[in-house]
Amino acid sequence: MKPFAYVNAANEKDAVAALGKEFEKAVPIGGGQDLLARMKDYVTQPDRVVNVKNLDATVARAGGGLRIGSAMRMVDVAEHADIARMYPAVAAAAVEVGTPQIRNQGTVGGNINQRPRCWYYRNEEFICYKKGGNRCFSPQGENQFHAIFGSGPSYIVHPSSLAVPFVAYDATFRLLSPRGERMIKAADYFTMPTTENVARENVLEPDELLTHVILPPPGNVKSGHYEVRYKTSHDWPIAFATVLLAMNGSTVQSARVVMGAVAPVPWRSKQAEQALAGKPITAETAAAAAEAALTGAEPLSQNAYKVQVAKTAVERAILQAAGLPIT
Amino acid sequence: MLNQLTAESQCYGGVIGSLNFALYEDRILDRRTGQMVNPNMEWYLLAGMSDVPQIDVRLKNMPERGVVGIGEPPTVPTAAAVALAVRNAIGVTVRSLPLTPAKILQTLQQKA
Repeated sequence: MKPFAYVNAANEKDAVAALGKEFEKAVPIGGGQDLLARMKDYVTQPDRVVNVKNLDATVARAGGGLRIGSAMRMVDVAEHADIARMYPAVAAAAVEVGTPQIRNQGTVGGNINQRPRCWYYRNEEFICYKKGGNRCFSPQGENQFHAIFGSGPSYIVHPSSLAVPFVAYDATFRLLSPRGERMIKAADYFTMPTTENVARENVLEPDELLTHVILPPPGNVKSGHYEVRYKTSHDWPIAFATVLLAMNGSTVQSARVVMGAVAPVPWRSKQAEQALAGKPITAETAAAAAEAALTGAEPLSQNAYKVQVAKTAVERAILQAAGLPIT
Repeated sequence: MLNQLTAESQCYGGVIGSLNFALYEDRILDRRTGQMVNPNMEWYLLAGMSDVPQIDVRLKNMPERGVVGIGEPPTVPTAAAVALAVRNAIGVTVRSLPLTPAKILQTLQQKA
């Protein structure tokens, strides 16, 4: 990797002061589970790396919800009693990330801000849009793991497991920069690629740090989270979903259906939510909602199977939320 | 059998290798440039701890055969056995390895 300067930030203000204006030239490091690999492969070549491992990694009760420091390790998220009780889908997502070693080192902030796994992006030989090039190689190339939603210019799937339940639970991210703090809803944090803005996956400025995830009071929702992955050990999910159900007696008052690994951002399906509203949860209504969730899917040449897998993930997350058996 | 432990270990290894052959390993080349897009442990899938099943090795000692090797026999037909088991389970034949979710679902869809 390219030689770099290392800054040990004592607090969030110092950390932010050490970042810079240019994209990926001065970058924060949490567990380094993604950053170090990118640096070794020359995908990301910062001049300066800012250690943020010692920043806030706590969970605090805040206004009926929780405030999670982004330096918190994934293993701690997976094992935290309050998170498991109040936001079960977050704990369920955290526990399936990577391997135990990765979860021991990786942080919440790192999981949210990790860069895509696309093998064209990660391969030095292919200069794609995200590296300043003028094309995306996936549509005419090997796209079995790429997006089924969105019509480019980039077809990556967002790799973060936590992003999906955070969007579902309506989390807010606290971002800190030299200009002060700003609070961005998780749903607004992740950005679809456009011809003007294809290099980034979110609104984080280069001199900004994601310091906290604030989860609002969960209310009386039932949570479901279902991931489909090929290998059990150490594999990325093919598709996954978080479903939240607010019930009115035995029927659904309102729902949240968010899918992961299917689009450049966590993909919320209002069609699926509408298909559930006012209905009781049965095998039939779950299947119908799952069908609705994939409305508008535009598979590429080799990833049509993801449509079926995503449907299954949504259907099973709904059944899980409702406490029904998955058959 | 010259050494039972070694012979059984060879079988475990051969079966695991063949499971990988049947299910996971795939050298994926970008169809336009020929570049391998998965030259790494991330996407050149290999079975991990949770992916390897219980393997039962039964060996019959046949000293009349003399000294023969044991590396290949567990490795070659196991992949075929897995492929046939998949065919038995889903009712269609997938004719290429590895038997990925994409291939299985695609084959099932074509049949439908």
